[in-house]
Amino acid sequence: MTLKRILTAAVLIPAVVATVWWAPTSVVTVAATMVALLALLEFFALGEHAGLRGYRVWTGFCAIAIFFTQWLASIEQTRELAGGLHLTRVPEAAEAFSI
Amino acid sequence: MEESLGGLSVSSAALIFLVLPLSAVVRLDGIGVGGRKLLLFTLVLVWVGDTAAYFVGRSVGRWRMAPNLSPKKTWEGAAANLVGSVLVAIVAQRWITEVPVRHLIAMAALANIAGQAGDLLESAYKRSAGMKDSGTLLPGHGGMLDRIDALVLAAPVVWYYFNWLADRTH
Repeated sequence: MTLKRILTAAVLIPAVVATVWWAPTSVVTVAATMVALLALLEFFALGEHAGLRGYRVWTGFCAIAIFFTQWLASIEQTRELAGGLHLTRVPEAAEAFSI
Repeated sequence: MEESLGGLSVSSAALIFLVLPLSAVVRLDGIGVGGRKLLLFTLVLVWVGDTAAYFVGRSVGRWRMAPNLSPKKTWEGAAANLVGSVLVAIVAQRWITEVPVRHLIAMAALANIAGQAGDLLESAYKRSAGMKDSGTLLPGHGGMLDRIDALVLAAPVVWYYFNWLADRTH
């Protein structure tokens, strides 16, 4: 069991690290959405075992919409400050961003 | 009507406790290079913490943490989980230069505690459904939900901590 666990991790970890480091945010969003949808299916299976049948299709659509909205928000993050001042962060500036 | 309410509660719980917090990984990645580093940092601290908890809990774990929810979880494993994550922050400080080290350690500790809460929350779901694993998709790990349970609550903690820090600094 431990060997199987280690082997699975040895295959998946490099793939996840490579996706996060080299892939653009759009690809990470698609990958994260797929993971969320798979987890949703398992969550619904748990619900069914407890006698509760969730609305799979519309929950799936809502999940896709949430990830899409987060992606939209991440490609142009605008903050509203006091006095009606808006700060919009562009990707080039984000590269040099530090606290 | 009862069926509708039951279905609605499962769907709402899935969106509130799973999808919405997990979507923080997209916001983290979207920050840019610093965000990618923070996302990898979040993933690594969860992985290292989980692995430390697994091995320490198995070898020296005596004090049961939540016997009703997850009989195998021990306080020794939970402590190893937290220590593992903090060690990740200490090692990562050379690489994540965007965030001061004390904040990186605090971020790791808070994310780890949230991650362990996420782990317990998922155990509660499985326990109420009478299942041991959420699925069989990942050999040796169980299902996808078993694998991402800690990340689901750790990612938004890192995201909101980073935002709080950015707001405080600028």
